[in-house]
Amino acid sequence: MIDFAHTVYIIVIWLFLIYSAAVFLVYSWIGIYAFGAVRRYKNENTFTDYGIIASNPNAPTFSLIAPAYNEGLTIVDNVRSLLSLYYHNLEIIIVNDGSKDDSITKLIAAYDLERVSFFVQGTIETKPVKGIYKSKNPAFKKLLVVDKENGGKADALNVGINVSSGEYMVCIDVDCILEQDAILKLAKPFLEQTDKRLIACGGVIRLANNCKIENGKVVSVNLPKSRLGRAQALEYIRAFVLGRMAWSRASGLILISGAFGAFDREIVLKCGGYDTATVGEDMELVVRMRRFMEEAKEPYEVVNIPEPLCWTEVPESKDILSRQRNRWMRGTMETLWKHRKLMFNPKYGKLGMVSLPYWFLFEFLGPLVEFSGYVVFLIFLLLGIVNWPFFFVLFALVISTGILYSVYAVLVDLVGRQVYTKRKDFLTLIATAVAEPFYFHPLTVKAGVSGFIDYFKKSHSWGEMTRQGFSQSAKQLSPKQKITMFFTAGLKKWGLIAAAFSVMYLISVFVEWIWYKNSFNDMDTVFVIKYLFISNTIFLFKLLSVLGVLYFILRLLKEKIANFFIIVAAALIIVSQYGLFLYFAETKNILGADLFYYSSAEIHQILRSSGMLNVKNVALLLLLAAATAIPLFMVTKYSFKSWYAGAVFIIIGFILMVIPVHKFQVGFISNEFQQNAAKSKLSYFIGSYSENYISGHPELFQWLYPNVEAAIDSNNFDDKYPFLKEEDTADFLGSYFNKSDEIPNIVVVIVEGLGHAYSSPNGYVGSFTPFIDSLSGKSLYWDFNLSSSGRTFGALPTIAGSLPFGKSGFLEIEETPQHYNLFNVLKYNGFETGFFYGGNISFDRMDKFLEYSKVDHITDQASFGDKYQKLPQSNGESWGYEDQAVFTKMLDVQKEGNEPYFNMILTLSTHNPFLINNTAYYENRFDEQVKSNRITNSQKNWALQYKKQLVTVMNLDHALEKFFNTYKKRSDFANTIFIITGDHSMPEIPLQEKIDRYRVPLIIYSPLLKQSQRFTNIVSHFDIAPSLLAYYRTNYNLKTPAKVAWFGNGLKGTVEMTGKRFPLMQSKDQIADFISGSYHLNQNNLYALKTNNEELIENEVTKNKITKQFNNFKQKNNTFYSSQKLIPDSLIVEFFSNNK
Amino acid sequence: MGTVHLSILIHDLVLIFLTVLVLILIMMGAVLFYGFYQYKSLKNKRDWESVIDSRVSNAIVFSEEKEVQESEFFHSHSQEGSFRNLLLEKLVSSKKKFSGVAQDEIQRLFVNYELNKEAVQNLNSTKPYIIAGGIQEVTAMKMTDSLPQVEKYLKHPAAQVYNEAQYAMVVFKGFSGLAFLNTLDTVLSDWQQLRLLGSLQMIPNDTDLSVELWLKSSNLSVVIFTLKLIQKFQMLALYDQVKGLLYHASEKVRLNAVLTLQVLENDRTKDDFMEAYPLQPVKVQLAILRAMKYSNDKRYYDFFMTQLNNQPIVALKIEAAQALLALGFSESLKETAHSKAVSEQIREIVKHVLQQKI
Repeated sequence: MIDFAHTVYIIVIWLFLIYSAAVFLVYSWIGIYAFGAVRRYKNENTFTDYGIIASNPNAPTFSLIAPAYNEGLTIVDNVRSLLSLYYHNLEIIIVNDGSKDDSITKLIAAYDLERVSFFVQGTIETKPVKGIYKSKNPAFKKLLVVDKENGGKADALNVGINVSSGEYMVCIDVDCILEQDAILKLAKPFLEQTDKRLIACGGVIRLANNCKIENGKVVSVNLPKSRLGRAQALEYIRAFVLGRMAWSRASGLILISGAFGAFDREIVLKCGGYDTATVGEDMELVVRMRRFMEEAKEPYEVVNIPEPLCWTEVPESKDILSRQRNRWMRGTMETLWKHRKLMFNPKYGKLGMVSLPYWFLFEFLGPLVEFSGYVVFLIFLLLGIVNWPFFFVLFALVISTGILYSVYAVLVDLVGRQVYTKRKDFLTLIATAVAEPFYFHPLTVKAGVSGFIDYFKKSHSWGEMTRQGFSQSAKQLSPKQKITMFFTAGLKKWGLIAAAFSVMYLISVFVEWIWYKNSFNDMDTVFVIKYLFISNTIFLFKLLSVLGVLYFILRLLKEKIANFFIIVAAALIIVSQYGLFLYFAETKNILGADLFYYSSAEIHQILRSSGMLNVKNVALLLLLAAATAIPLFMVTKYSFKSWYAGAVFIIIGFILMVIPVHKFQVGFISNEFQQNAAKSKLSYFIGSYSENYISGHPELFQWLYPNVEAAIDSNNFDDKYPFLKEEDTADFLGSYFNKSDEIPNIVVVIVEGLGHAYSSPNGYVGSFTPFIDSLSGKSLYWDFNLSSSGRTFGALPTIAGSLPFGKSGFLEIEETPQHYNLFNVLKYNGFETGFFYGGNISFDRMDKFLEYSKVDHITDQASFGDKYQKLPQSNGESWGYEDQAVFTKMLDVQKEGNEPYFNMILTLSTHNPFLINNTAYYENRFDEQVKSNRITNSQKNWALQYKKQLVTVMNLDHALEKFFNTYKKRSDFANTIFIITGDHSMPEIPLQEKIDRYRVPLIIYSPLLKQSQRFTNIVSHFDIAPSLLAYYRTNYNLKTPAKVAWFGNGLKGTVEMTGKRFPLMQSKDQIADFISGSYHLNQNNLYALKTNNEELIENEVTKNKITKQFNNFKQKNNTFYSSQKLIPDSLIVEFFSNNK
Repeated sequence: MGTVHLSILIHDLVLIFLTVLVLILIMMGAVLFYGFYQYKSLKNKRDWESVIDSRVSNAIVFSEEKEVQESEFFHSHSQEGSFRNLLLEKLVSSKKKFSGVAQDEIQRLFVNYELNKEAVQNLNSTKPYIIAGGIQEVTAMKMTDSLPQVEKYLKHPAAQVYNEAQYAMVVFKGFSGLAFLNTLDTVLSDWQQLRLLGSLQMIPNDTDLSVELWLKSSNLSVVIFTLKLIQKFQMLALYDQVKGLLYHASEKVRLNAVLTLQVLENDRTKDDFMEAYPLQPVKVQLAILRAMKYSNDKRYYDFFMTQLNNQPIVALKIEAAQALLALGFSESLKETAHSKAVSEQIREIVKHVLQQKI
């Protein structure tokens, strides 16, 4: 069995590996590209004489804007430092953003400021300006101080932009220390622009922590003292020298640090300045400027120069650092969300196709992917499925790649422009590169993730606010407007929810296909994926219509309830979809409403022994539910801009419900297994459930199918007893048997899963039952015999009593209806009766049936003792006793001399999970069989694929052989009739044709037989009981009922098929097949039954006729189920009370 | 089957990753090694720099007669390639900083150490930045022999090279070095214009013909550079040609034309400005107002007042008010600042211009 958890594990690992490989490639590119950019800059600027612009009155004017908030302690020194910058045409604007301290008074005093009239020309909307100050001292004539109400950094910068008059503006944090020639170096790229307009330019920012600073100048550069500080020193080198330089060279730079950057003022004004609604205003502005230029179709560039121009204090406490990184993450998300339209939009060139996707995939998703990696690792650890060597190698690889990147960054920085010149610093940086991944990096990841969460918290509270606004304005609307608003708002939301859900659902379908592709080698993958997607897409749209309507109804109550509903429903649907396709992959059976006919204990046992029910799988399903619910929860916070998509999602489904789309669904070129594989499992399950519900309610059935003729069977006595008829089965068997002095015994062996395909040389898998083959040569043998059901539940009532199904199988009827069967009729005639089963007799409620029939020896696993051997356990659960044990048990219980007797044996070993004792021995026998000339080449291909199943068949065959050998030694053997058949074919071995599910061998062997005979006509299990009783009635004068309710009309030996009509029940919820004469009707398709196969035919007349017969049967069956009566009580009482 | 297949994959992956891990470790070693090597050579360079600096300053301070004993160190390294290149680099940058005798001393060092070989070698390199360095060197050291080669570099595809060649031509030949403008089809960046203008100290008398030709160039940057050239050397004879450029298709050219006319001012200038004013875009109008501000001609009071009161564009109003102030109408402005007859906006603008204390 393919372990579900293992495969999920592999998929998860691959996802991470692919992402890591992408990270590795991108960073390799950055490293190489940045190196070139740094070298080029250095080469081009070795001889630059900045003197030509330093004091040139014709050089462009720069406005330096420094917002300050509560910087009273250092502001005077900082401004002095700014005033000493080398650049003639410079205007220094300090914006006091409503500081609560004495910043402004200190500035006034230190620089001899006076408040002046100032007409603000810029038009960006800002918080009010309280006053503008200029110095009376001409030495400070470059200085302009703006005092304004507090509005945040972006707002303060906008005021600066409004006030400024330079061609270019430089925005800095006031606590930054600029190199004296910083403006000169920034100005050069602006002056050098030729064919492309330079809209923004940044420089390298270095850490001021622990540096020696005198008079606002860095005089001695040192690495920070704290570990956190040093890690950031390294991080800044990586970011500025590698990342930004590479992106700058590739014209993809979208971040100029807020701490220090220069911009073209005209473009900034045209763009409307900084966005005050984001915490990442620096990046947002650059993206918006680039967007503006892209839309205006003007060539432009954004560059970064590898010059350390600005020194800033970085946080050295974990708390402040975390808050900073948290803010960066939110800023990134806000910008990406605001400009989401650009993402992968070729209209926006590199910005849309490269830069923003890079930021999304690596800068934004990076910490989240890493964090989810830790979570997944933890889960794997708990589940014990970590592959340690793989983990360690990968971990070492990731860490060492990171270290290499850092060391490389230090090297490039060294080549470019050495800042840390002391030998000790160089070594410390290398040591930091090695240590940082273990203490600093996790911290930034954690802060990133918490920023991610905070982002949604914030947008959540926003959502609340806008909703309040909406409802307030809604109060003033007319009822008609309110309704329109309700629907458009709802449709906008629904559109997004439906889109997100569709993506997740279609992913699950894709996973389903991949799963089948890996599990089944012989599958036609193209066929399956095509129809799998068609069927699932049709179902998805229908589902979305229904869910959409429910969503709207719940929205009437409250939006939150509707959202909650949709999240839970979606999680359930997705989990079910995975569960259902895994069930199919495991059992090759589509799960339908039959699920509801098993008790929880039965389901538990099935799951446990199949190995699917374990902590790992349950945890994975829970994880899956969470993986569905969380993104949907996020999606409910947003909506589409237009309502059309939402409306389309609802309408398409309804259209699909009306038009007959099943014609586009699964084609018929393929075998049944592939057709089933290509079906939407969830659609099937829901369809099956609703049909099942309808069939359980005859009044609904009548209403839905009013045209079904109430064709009265000629033998039919009473409408109340639709199946009651005169017993008139002719004796077919008598002529083949020698008449015995004693009444013969009967032993019926029902072999679990014994399909024709692998128990006959004619089967497509070949014979894996050498003993049964040899026996059939000495027996009456029907090659084309059909069981009544696709599962075990039908075997007992059909073989013993030729009984109808009711709603979900005869055994499922709560109180067994009065009826005749081989057990009670033969017992009435003096037979000792017994039923032998190695498992739990309450499975499929067999015990109720047997108890009703007053069987003398009901033997199940509880009755076996230590003497007998159980089947091996799977996940701590064994189905019960092996076949050898069951056969021996029967011989032990059934004493010689207590004749006549009727025993029925139901075997077990050939059932999923196909575990037997002594596997090696039977594998050997299997190999010999495969090698022998009894198996053809095409059969060999099948056999090798299903070796596991077939080995158990070899085991069963051998057990049967031993059983017969032992039996032969008993005196009662000579006077016993053996009937050997299967209950259905194994669904685990793919079915070539629909009918193969039911095709099982039927062998009647007895030492009393006059001759062996092979029959080619079609018979069914329904025929066994009538034939046996006719035989005993005719030949041994046994008393049998005159009126019966059975389906079969006895075994026949001729090809003549007319008059045979019987249904086949695929699973407990589905009566989908009907046999009439030599035709097989299945889901509106008609097949002609040939001697060894069936063929799809187009014959509308016959099809309609048989469909009528089928509906007629269904109606009778429903009547039976609602009355739960087969035979009038009076007849039963009369029969059994009569003395023999 | 699937499980086995996937397990094999994992097994293979471990092997692949192990290989990659080893490669990464080797690369780490290589980068570290190279890093230390780079660090060492940088340290060397720093040591050499201080030696060279002291050698250069000694040469300047003590000059030829008092030639100091060359240090052992300097002597031993003076044949080393990388040392010589550094020395060359240092001499070139020092030469730019000094003038007169000091420059001659540096030139002497250059000749003494026969650094011209390195300079020529650099000039013949294939790497643009080295060629650019070579051009700077031969220029700084006045190696006229190399001039023909430098001239060829005017057509070099790399901007760094042809920019440096242009500069060299002007340094070597003065005004006639600008001949490349006749056929220039690349953009002269502002930076390059500043450099060229800066290096041009004087012009001969018979320049008008070529200047006129450049003013008609289809290369906008050539026209703008020429206007700046006219400004710098006050080439009054070209007044009319410049005036014509007030109606040039490019706004940037018009702006520079205004600035140039301001420099070339004669008694017709104000009328020319007044004539052109209504036909100009805002940026040019601003420049005209700014130029008129310094005209010192009170006759334009009404014009400025109209601009202040009736002009819808704020920047122009402010400029008009500033002009009024410059022309000495501060009293009148003070009245306007408190006049109820004008709008609040105008009063604010006037106050702003008056820089009134609040």
